[in-house]
Amino acid sequence: MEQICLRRIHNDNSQDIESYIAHDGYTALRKALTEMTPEAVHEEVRASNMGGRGGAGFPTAMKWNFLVGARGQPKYVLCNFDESEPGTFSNRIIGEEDPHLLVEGCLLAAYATGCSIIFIYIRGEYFLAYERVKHAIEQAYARGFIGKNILGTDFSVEMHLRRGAGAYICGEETAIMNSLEGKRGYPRARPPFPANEGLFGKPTLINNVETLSNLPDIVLKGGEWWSNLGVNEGAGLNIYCLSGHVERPGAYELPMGTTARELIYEHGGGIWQGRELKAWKPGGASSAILPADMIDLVLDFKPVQAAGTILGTAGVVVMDDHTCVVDAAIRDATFFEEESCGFCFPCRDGTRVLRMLLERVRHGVAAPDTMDLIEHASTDMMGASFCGLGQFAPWPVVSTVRNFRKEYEAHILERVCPAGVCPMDGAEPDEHVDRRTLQEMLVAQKGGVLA
Amino acid sequence: MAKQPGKVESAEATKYAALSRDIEECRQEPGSTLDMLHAVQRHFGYLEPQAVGMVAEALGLTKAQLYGVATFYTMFFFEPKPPVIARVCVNLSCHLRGAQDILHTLEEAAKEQHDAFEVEEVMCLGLCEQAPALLVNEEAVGQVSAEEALAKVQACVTTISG
Repeated sequence: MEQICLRRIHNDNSQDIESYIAHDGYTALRKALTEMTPEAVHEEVRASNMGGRGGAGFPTAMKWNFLVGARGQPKYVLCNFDESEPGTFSNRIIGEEDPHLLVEGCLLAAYATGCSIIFIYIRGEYFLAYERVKHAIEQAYARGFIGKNILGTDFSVEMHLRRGAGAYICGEETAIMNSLEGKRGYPRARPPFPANEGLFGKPTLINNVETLSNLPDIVLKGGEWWSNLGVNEGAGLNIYCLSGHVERPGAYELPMGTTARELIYEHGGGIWQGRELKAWKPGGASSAILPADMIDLVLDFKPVQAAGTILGTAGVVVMDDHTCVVDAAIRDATFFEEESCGFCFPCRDGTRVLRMLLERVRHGVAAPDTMDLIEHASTDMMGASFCGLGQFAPWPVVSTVRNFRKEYEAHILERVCPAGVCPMDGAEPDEHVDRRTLQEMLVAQKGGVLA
Repeated sequence: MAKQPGKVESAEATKYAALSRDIEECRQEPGSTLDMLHAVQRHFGYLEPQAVGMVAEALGLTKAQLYGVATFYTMFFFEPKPPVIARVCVNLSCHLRGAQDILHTLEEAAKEQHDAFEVEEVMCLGLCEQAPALLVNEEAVGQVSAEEALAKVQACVTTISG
């Protein structure tokens, strides 16, 4: 089966420049710089129909258009390597095992869009990937792939690697710029968009690691070739990160448009310990928790959106029939409460309210209208949060209420956890519950948890 | 083991000198505030106040401004820490495969050993295919039982405390 980003990772010393060059490394850069104009590279990306792999699926070529038309110098490429979405690890594998692929991808993007400075912002917890990418950049400088007059052409570029320090929000495209500028990682208002007024106030192209890592093959073999690798109307290949209760968790680079059933059963070896599938998530914490009967869903941006959620980072998490969905939902709720940056109140308070409501469900002390409260708080957050974090944070919670209603009714009305996972001990959790916060958030509700 | 006061002082002086060099190197580069703070933590194990002051001065910020930035990020420490830190991921993929067992086992052991190491409950480490996973200092450890995780942490404690 065709592989692009993961093709070289099992080679000996795959992270080293010699190994990379021995396996066609930097030939795309040579081809682009010596045989193609920046516009021609851009045209191949347009022909590829690639949607950005960072989670939003925004057409890569269109994002590049904005840069080409933007005024101001220097222009920056900012590679978003702040991979922190729970269930997602494809960028880490590229950074650890094939860092030169990323370096070459960054260079191609800079060439095509007229950028002269490249920043790679990597999350602080990726210690090994940081060392490997750092070494790769040093090697590429030493060999003349980065620097002045690359390969004897008039294309010159510098490349810098920067480390984050533990903040999921810094994967958001405006927060990452604030963080890189040495500020707290709060999101910025848009407009102005990064392409016009980005890093240090200059035009900035922000692309994900996997997006960039596909560029060398697109340049070498053509955008149309790349596009045709997809199935079910999908374009190209996509790395699906599979984890949870499957026999063979791992990163699978498959045709975009592969179904969840194929991914989980054919590639992942099915549910572990001979159990049955109960629930699954298509794209990290920000996506919905779906029931087993949606297993034939095509895992591409549009079909998943049509099904009411997002493909996001394609971090597929699988849950077997011993799992309690309330117990699963509260993990994601805790994640978002922990990672909310506190900049806007719908997210700051909403993530806390959702986690507290679920805590009460787990302990068997939830009010009868808890499901309505969850719906209500979720709607507020989706509509009123400042950035994507708060807008998507309710999905793992509210989707379980919608897709597994009976299970919630058992917890709330019968005080029973059908899976036998939740404590259901009648203990009042959260002694410090901020009733006023709840009241303000849920102002339209009468009674409820406050009764 | 009692240390000579003079030796402690010179060890500290060495750290400040090393930090000075790192700051000099970083300040030529745009956008390296977090890298400078990482350098402080690498040399001192936490954001030692005087060292933070050096970074603030290099950046033309007040210490208050710099602390305002630093406190946003979970990886920075503001007080001395044990030499070994186990960061245990508790998010969904790891939770489904036994993260809570690891967390409890390590927390109990840390208590028994009077905080020879520190256990942190952390958000996704991007090691989901190796779940349950943790970081023992900078090393990724995955697909382990609670006992294996503890053995790994113990080995690290032994190595570092020599």
